[in-house]
Amino acid sequence: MTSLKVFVIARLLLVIPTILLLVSLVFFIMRVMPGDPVIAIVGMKAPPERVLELRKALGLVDESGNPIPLPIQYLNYLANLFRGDFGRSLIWGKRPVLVEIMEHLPATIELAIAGFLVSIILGVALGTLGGWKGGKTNSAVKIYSAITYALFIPWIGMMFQLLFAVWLKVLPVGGRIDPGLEPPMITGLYLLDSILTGRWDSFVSALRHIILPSLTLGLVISGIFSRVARTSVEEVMRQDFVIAARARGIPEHRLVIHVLRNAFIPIMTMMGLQLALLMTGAILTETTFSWPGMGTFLFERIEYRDYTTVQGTVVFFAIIISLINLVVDILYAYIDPRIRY
Amino acid sequence: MEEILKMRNLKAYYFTREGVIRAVDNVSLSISRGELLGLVGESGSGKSSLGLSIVRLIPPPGRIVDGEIIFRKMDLLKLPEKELRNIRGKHIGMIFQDPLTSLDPLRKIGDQLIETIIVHTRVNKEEAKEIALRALERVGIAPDRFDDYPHQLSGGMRQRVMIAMATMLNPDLLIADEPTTALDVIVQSRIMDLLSDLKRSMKMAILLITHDLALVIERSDRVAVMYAGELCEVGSSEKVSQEPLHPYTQLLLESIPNVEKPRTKLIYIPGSPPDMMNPPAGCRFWPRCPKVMNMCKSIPPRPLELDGRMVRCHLYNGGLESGG
Repeated sequence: MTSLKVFVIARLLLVIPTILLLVSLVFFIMRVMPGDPVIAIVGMKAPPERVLELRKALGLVDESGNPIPLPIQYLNYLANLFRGDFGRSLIWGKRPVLVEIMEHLPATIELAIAGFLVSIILGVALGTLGGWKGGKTNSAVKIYSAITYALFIPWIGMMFQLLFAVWLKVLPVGGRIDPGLEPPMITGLYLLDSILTGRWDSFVSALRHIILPSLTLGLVISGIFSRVARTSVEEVMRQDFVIAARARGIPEHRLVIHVLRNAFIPIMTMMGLQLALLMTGAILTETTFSWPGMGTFLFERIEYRDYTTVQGTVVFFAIIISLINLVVDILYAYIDPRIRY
Repeated sequence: MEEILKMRNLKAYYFTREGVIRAVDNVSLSISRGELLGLVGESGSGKSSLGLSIVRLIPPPGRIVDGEIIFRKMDLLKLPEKELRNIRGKHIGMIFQDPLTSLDPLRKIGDQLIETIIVHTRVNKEEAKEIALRALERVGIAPDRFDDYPHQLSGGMRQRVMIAMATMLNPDLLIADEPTTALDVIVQSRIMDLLSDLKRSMKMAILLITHDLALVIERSDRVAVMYAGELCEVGSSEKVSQEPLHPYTQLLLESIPNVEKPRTKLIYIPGSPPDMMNPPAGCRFWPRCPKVMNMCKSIPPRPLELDGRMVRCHLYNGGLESGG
């Protein structure tokens, strides 16, 4: 077996304890938080039947109303998660949390991908330019990183809305697509689905709607990428193999690929880390642009104290992020042969 | 013998914030086909800067200020970057001190060899692989190493790969900057054997840059001694080792420990190399020179032709001002 295969298998096995730890953390943090969640949801003056009903729904008491001990609650919770049961919403028809997540997830994934692309293209290109050229270009990129990193998403989002939607009237203020143009559901990603079904009017509409939110999200995250890309390109440029490659007559356009590949590990680590930030960024971006994704959804359910939905969503995110880290680690090993221990 | 490279009055300075470092100052040196020229000097004497200047790769804030470098009838300093790039790696090969960091750690050595061949010639990938394998064979690396990454090879093997890469396109000149410093003595001797073989079989000129005078005396045809950015003596290894002219060369030779004469005191050169930003007035070596005269402290010595050699020292113009 090649060393890469061994690494991938070992890394896959490591996901199990990681996810177990994450979901346990969410469970216990929810339990040690002060205050009675049931009272928080229904209020002090709620009728006792309603309180009991909620306690049952939350898995705090059994059918006859006796409290379930914490270890049993924990095991029930794990068993349910294992079956893919994230619980049911406490409000509006008590739908399964997973179903609701799946309804809102594609919108967030679409925005996250678009925002991530913007940030990588902007960040890595500018960072590489700065690290490669040095001098004044480098200083300009430094300033760009500092400014974009410090931007507050709702503010820059509103500025874009003001400029492009209100004054220039070239792009919509918010939303995901013009009403009635939603493409048939295949993946849930409007841009992709409209291409797959050949609905060009839907595609144009979805594209026009995604430009401002993805630019907002991408711009803020690009600051971090340009910073990491700049410092790691700078560092690689100082290494002997760069001058050795030049001494072999390797042209600059080929050399930049060698340098980027060597500089990529720190950039990729940052990408993995930024995915977490992307989620919080997505919440702010989504609420600014009324984007119907996980961010808007989570924000709304926190307001309504939809306890099970919030817990289920957090667990879901924890699992997603540990899976992203898994992919990043495997990519490391693929790019850098020295990591395959 | 045909002169393959001729440097005339080459000046390469580093323009730092603190001041100008004259790393290479008025150096004239030539090297012929099939000749191994050893360039010796202490750390910071400017020998590596000289090597990098030849292919115009002196890193910023360094810059070549003046002079000419004639290589195969072309002035390398006047050549456009694109043409120069074609000379680097094809007509002038270069190897460096640390063979681990001189290879891209993320790419298989075979791919790095192939890339170099492809940018310089019109062969396809298959033919390039054949050339690369032949070059590896010539330096004693087995073909099954072709798909290895640099970290999977030993230091000596990596330097062999570097040599294969620098010589596979039959360059006229190989610049070897401290090629054996990072290696142990036995590997060092094998690498030097390999360089001598290449010199003979391919009629290649080799510029061996090192701080190791003993190695140069043993291996090279001619020796150039560099001190504080200037050449102080150039001559055949035989003459320089038997009858060194410049006091610095004399001290360097005396300070080589001799195993056959045990229990002799280790001889060293007192003082330290000059501050290159403010070198001493007159001869740059005078503060450390045992034969210092009054005029040395104010008048810089000119290079003198003497007995087929070059020496830059007032001792040899009868103490008279100016000369050659």
